[in-house]
Amino acid sequence: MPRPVIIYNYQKPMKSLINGRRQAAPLQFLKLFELYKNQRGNAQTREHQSMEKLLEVKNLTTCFVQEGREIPLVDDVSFFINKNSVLGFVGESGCGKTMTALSLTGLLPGKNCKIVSGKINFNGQTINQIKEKDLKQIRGKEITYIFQEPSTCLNPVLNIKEQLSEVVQLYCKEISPEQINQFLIKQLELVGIRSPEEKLLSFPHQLSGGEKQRVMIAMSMIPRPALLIADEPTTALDVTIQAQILKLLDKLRQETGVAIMLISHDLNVIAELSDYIAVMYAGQIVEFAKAEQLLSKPLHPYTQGLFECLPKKEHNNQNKLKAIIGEVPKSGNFPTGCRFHPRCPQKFDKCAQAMPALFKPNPDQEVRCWLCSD
Amino acid sequence: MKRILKNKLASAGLLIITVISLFAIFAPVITAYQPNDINITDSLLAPSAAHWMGTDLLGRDLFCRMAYGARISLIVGLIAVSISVLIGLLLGSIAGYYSGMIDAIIMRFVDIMLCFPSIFLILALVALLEPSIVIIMAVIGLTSWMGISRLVRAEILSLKERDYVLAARACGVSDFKIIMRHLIPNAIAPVIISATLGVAAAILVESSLSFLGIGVQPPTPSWGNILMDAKASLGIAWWMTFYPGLAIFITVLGYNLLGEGLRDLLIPRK
Amino acid sequence: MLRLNKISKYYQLNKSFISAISKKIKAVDSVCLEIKSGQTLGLVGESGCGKSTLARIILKLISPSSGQIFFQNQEITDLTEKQFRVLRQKIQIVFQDPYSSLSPRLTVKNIIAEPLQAFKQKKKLIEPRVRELLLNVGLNPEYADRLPHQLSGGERQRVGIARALATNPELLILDEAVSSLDLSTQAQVLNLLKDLQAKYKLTYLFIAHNLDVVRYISDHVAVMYKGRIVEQASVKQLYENPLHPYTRILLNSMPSLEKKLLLNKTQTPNLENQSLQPDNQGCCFYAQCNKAKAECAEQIPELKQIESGHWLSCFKPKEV
Repeated sequence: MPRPVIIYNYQKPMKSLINGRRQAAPLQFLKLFELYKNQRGNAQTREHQSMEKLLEVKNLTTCFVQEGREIPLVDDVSFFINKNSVLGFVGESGCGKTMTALSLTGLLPGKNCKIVSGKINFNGQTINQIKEKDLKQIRGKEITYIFQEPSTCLNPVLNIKEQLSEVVQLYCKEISPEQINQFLIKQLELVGIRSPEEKLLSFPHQLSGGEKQRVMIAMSMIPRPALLIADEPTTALDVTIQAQILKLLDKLRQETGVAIMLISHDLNVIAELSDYIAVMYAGQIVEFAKAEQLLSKPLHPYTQGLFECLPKKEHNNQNKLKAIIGEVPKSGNFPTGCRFHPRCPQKFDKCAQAMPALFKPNPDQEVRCWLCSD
Repeated sequence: MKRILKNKLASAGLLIITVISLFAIFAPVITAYQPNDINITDSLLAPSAAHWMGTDLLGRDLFCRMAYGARISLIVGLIAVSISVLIGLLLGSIAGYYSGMIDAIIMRFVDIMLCFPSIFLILALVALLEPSIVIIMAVIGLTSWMGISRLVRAEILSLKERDYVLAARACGVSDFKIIMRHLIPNAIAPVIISATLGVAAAILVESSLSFLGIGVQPPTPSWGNILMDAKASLGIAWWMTFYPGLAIFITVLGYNLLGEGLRDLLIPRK
Repeated sequence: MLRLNKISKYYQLNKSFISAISKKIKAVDSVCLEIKSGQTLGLVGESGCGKSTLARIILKLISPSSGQIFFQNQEITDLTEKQFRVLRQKIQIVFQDPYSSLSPRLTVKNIIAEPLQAFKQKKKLIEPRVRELLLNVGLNPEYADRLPHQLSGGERQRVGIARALATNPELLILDEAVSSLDLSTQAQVLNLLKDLQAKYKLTYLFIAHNLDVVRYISDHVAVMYKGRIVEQASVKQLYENPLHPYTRILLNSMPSLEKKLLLNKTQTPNLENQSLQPDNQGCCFYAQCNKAKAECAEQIPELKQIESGHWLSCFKPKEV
């Protein structure tokens, strides 16, 4: 389907043309918005897009440099995200999920953290070595973030309208100042905030946790990104609000065609939403598979252990939870060979000697384990 | 300790203070003269090999007087600050921990004390009582505890709600022990910084008082009253004003640098 | 072991000399609970519902506005601090945040020894007791000389549990004790808690918001909403036959491996703005309930026993 051509003459709104036809100004604007919303193609093209790779990361290694020593925070990580699909990143605290997400657009904290090797391919363009100026075109526009604590991400002294307008002015230059209010109300309705007119003028401390997170989601969806990275978006929220936010993310994915990279330590949350799941441990990806494959038949002992840690109906006094013994090793103190082998119930000799590569026991699954090497 | 040395400000400050302190401690060793060796024939000699900083009007070796004066200044500074820290900790922690009426009363008392211009208070107290080193220390200490008590109160108000304090209360630990073991050690960081800067301020106050003649009384040497003596010979003997002024400047600078450096270290950043 | 009878805690808003009516916030409203010896009661509810306030009331760190607390059949509501001090040995608490529940400047040994010192344990006996407690919670006794910031989250939580066990308590309140731990650590600590309960015949009040965890560890469950208990039942009854609309919403909102949320077509009502509102009559859930009737806004439904062991606070249980 050919893309509709939009020529918006902002200096003379009455004379604007949409597909060659003259429209009244408010109608023009609404049409503009509808077209804008559908810019990523309709449902048919979207299914086709789900097979196309939007982001491809190959052998990414990010290190923390301290006193000449390089401590790898993200070690040889490779994954991909298809257009309009959801990739779930699961792992415990300290395993490197957030660092991976921040490495993608060069948001690493401090001067000591840097990408040491690897290739990040976004929409056909390699973005790990490009200049900051070009990276800024992508970060915030094509790839946006939402974080765990919405209260710290919103400026407490500015009201919501001012903060959202800032984003609009950066990335949606075609919307004139008079129409910003209308535009923002539509955005807030899209994310499910009730009475958006009032909420626009309120301050962050007047909103509840769930509403703040919705505002953050609205803020990241304004430039209609291709990829939304959600770093533990629901961890700080109550269970009922969490359910609503997850439903919202799914709705956004269906309506706007955005791809989502969902990071969480909660397997249930990841399982609800993801098409592909990557499991991280100690800075490496230990299993990467299609969601159905991983949930029905996890191959890596760590993934299996995580599933067994979830309390379910069958567990009771007689049938106890099987916990994984030991603790996650700290960066810099990794064991030789496979990083999980000291805690693994299925280890054998080779595990302590050599680091397993990512093997492919079936086309939809990659596992970093010697058990799957044949 | 290692962290202090790594921080440039703190280590610079620490270096200065160490030098001055050694200067003060080893005063009898490094000088050949006594601070009160009056020798009229040698009056107002310029700095030379025999008298490293020259002599004053009465022929006393200035270097020697400066060294003994350093002792006075440092002792007054440290003890005055200790008094103010003790009072500040006591009142601030009681106000912060108990809140309510007690807090209101103590804070109003602090407000009242802050209303008095401290110079006049000090002058009045010193006029009533005989000026001596002990009185000076007490007076400076009693008029500078207010800031510390507010700092302590603010820290304790926030620390009081931490889980470990609740756990201690659930164990039935007495209030006094909770304050001493849990609250004060965790609230001490801003107090240390304030105290270090307070030493600098106390040295300045003591020097000012001595300069005015109501501090340390002659013949006991103090940087302030050396400056007082220097007034008479202002145009003729530059060394009489230069060295005490420089000493006060460097010491106060040293303590300020240490305080600033400690602030960077002790207030934790993410 | 523990019985609460109509415990309420009100906080005053807007104290003014002019108006006689001052708005009250009901942090805890007319709560009746009972925990039998050796069992675990799970207390479930979202943030702001009053669970932590209730825990502090039981520990007598806050005094209730009305109601009675009975511990081992003895009324403790009006005991003075001095009289209650002896009983403090028997009721202890483990907190949620492993990072703020341990005093940063004390070593592990001093942290665990503190309750022992508070109850005047002999000095000679303290050290071996600390070693014994560390072994009980699965920590190497060498950890005794470490500072909290040198330990991981799971290890700190174990130290918190060791501290709580120091005085041989009979009732242990676990205020979201596993909520901030990683999955694998959470499983380890849950198993540890179960072992300790069996070994020392402890009674637990387990406060949490994760229903799966509560199901694993509890014998009975009580659901709290805006300071009131809306439903209370044994684990089996509550999870198989939830009657109160709020309980149902909670159970439906749990994300699960079976992709229940997204396949579920029913609209989950918006439970936001759960801030404690001033005193109003009627059922606390009225504003959000989609089956509410007129009488639900006028009277507060009492906690009634629907079937043996299953209590519900709702006017129309069968219709709901």
